[in-house]
Amino acid sequence: MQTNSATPTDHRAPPPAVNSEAASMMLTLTVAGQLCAVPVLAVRDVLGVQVITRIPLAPPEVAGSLNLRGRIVTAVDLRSRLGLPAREPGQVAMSVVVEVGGELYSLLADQVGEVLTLHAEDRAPNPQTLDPAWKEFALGVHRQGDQLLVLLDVDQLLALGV
Amino acid sequence: MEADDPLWQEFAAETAEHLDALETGLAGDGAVDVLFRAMHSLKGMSAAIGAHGIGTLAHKAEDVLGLARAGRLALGPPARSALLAAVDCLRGQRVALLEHRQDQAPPPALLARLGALAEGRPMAAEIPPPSLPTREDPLRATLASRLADELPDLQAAPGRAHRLADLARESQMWRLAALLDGVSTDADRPAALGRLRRALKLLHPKEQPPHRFAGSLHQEAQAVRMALPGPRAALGRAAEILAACADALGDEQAELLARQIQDLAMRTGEEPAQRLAELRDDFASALAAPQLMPLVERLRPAPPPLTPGLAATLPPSTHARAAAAMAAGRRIWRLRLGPLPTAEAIAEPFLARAGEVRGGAGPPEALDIFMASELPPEELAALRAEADPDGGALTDLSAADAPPPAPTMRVRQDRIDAVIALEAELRAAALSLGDAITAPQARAAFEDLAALQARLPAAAAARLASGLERLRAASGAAERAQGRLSIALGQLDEAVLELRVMPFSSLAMRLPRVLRATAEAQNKQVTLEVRGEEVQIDRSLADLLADPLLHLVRNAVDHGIEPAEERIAVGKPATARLLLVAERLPGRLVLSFSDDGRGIDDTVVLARARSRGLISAEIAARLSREEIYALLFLPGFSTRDAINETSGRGVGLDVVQDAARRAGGAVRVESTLGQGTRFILDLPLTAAMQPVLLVEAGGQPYALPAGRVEAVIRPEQLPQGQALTTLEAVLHLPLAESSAIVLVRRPAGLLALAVERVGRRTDLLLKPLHPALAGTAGVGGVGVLGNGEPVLLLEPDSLPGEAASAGSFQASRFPAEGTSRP
Repeated sequence: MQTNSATPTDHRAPPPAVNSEAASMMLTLTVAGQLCAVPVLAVRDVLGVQVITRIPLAPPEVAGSLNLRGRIVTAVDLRSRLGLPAREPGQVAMSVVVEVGGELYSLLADQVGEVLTLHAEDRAPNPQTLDPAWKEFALGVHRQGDQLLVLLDVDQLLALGV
Repeated sequence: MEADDPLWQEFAAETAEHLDALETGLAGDGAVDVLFRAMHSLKGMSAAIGAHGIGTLAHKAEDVLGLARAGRLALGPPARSALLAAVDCLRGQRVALLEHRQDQAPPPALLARLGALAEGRPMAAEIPPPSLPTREDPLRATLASRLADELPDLQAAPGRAHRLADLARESQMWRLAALLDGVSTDADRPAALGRLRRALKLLHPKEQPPHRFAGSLHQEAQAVRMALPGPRAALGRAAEILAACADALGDEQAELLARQIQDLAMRTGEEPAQRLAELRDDFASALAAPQLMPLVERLRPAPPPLTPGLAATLPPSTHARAAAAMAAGRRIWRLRLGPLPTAEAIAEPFLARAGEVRGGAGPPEALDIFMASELPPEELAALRAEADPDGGALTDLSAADAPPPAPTMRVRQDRIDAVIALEAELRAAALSLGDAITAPQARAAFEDLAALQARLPAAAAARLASGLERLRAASGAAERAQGRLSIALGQLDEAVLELRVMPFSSLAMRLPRVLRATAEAQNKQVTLEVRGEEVQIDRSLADLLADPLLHLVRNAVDHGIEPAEERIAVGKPATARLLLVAERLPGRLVLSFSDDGRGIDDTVVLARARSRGLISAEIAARLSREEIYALLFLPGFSTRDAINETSGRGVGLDVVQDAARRAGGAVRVESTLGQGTRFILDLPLTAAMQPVLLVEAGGQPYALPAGRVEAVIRPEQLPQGQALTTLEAVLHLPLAESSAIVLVRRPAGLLALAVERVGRRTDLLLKPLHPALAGTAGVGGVGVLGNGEPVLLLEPDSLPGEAASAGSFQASRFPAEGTSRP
């Protein structure tokens, strides 16, 4: 709202001396059938179905706002953010609450999976075959058995049109 | 009543005692000290329990009694009747609070009446004291003469009091009637006669005192003596009876003694209890004496010795006199005189009114004068401001005997933010608890079960009945607990509000630099004066106002202030003057920012708005002054052609209006061509809570600022010619059937907004919205409802699409109720 020289969250420095083990832990999600992941260190909470208040006239990728224990969290629907078709009516979304730049966001995914340890050296660059919708928001891919896991670029996902 | 809560029990019991003491004291000739303390305790207790309505009224009444205690107000019939009216009102408020957990506000007329008394304005002519007889009333005149005639007989023939009581009722003098009834029914007849006699003395203060009854006080005095070591409440009652009986005999000295005991017995707290313990033996011997006399001298609290701090500050020669002044209940103040030759001349009239000089100290350029004064700090401050408006002569006034300031702690701002966030969370939880407890479904379920009960076999019905009874008791307890919770939350709210206030000066101190930079760049001479720097403002407001204030300063220099030569040419001083005033009014903060520049030229504004394509020629011709000024706040409006380095590009006064609206307030402009312009920001005390009206569109709730809602009407009530749009259309939602129209005030005129459903009015706790979304058109913010659900606060002025839809959505297209829209 206002430019404020000292935002209240300035003190929230990134966790110091993170061991590499924690840094390579990823929470897997499924969006429109595609396996993807976000770093666990950014995740603050995983919630089930939430009441989301729509914000008319806001950018389409913003699903609305939800109240996370008194804090208003902006919900971003990964499907619309990635330009994928909307969920079927009746299909519910899970909220993955992440913190970026002192702001909380809720990423709406179809399913939330497990936490995996994915080492950076195993990461492969985005393959040519990757759906262009994903390319913009992918930091790379990991092969998981017969599936391809897309590592999501959370900062890029949340760079809403300011 | 809450049987399980000691705090409420104590409140119920003690307030009843204080109110009784006040009523008897006011109806009779109770010592002013006793009355003052009773009112003071009442105020304290109501503050402790969070009953603001009672507290407000008690505070006003205490002011009046405080003046009376200081000997500056006669406690004559007008004051007494006003205070009795206050006691009656306090009783009602107390009952409402205890039985319904409702904190009722006192009637403003009564507050005004007490306020007028405290300020020494005559009131008798304005509001006739209701409890006093008017001499013109023939019924009352008859009553008065019959009372005078028959009073002496009442002692021997108390049955006669019945007829007099009826007569009093006919004259609508209920208090008198009750007292007369007491004469025939009260077991303690002399006391009842005494209370009656006191009331009569009050009714006819100028006449001969009423008949003195015969008798002895021996028995009553003995009773008080016996009660001295016992519980204080019993002692208080015994002392009251003795006082009343003493009044019956017209024995004023005895009454005073009884009042002293009553006062100490009925006041709450450690100090009176201790005094009573100290004086118990003295009271006992005074009560045993053949002639009852008050303990006047002994009752004064021991003169407090000078505190070491004060003794060190004051010149030794003044110690004795200062101690005497403090013993007499006055405080020692230090007045520092500035290095002005006229300082002493200015100080003299101040000192004459404020108090007595006790000594002086310090070098001549910063002379400290010590004075003893009984005036409250506010009054001294007002006198000082009156004597020395500039503050150059009387540079400082502070209590020399002030206790050392409470220790302060430095707390990181984010810790406070965390507390504030928790408080908000707690409040949301409490709101949803309240919603859950009062949910209509629960009541409906009770009714269903009760209906079922009638159809069940007797044995089952009985079990259901007892189960229902327990459920009702439980839900009643939950409701009461919720009532207490909301009162406690109110207190917490206030405490938290105090945590996040900052003085206005910290907001204003950035301005001079900006002003200098802006003025220098344009070769203008401008000074800025800030008033109300000490006004405390909420941090949520301060954050919102920081940029708009800077902008107002730049705007004034860029557009308002003329170049020096132009000012001189029209006879103004070359240096222009900006004035920023912060003022805290009840429930509001008003900032006014004025310049003495060229004022706003309507024609220039209109020409600019037209060239920017903001309005058409026909509209321009129809606009009122206010509507023309409203154009200034439109985004993209700037009356300056040259883009300069300070005001920059594309930022207009709309940021000011935007901030005011986000805070839930409004901004308006006053201007006189050639003389200057004033921007007035009228803001709530906090930007965190806003009263709203909930409406529904597309199945989702939205909030409209309640202050902007003109009316809610049914579709058929839409005024002729009023353009209509639907909330769904404005928000680009699928159309739905509308059931009501909300008329919203906007600078550009009324906006008729058809909505699917109108909900309740409520207070919305506003939360920061993501910066990327805060700028979304039509969005004023996001708040949290009682059930925790976020709700969007709409900003009526920036709701998009209305310009296009205003003409296209005509009233005729509005679907009649009952028909559905495709």
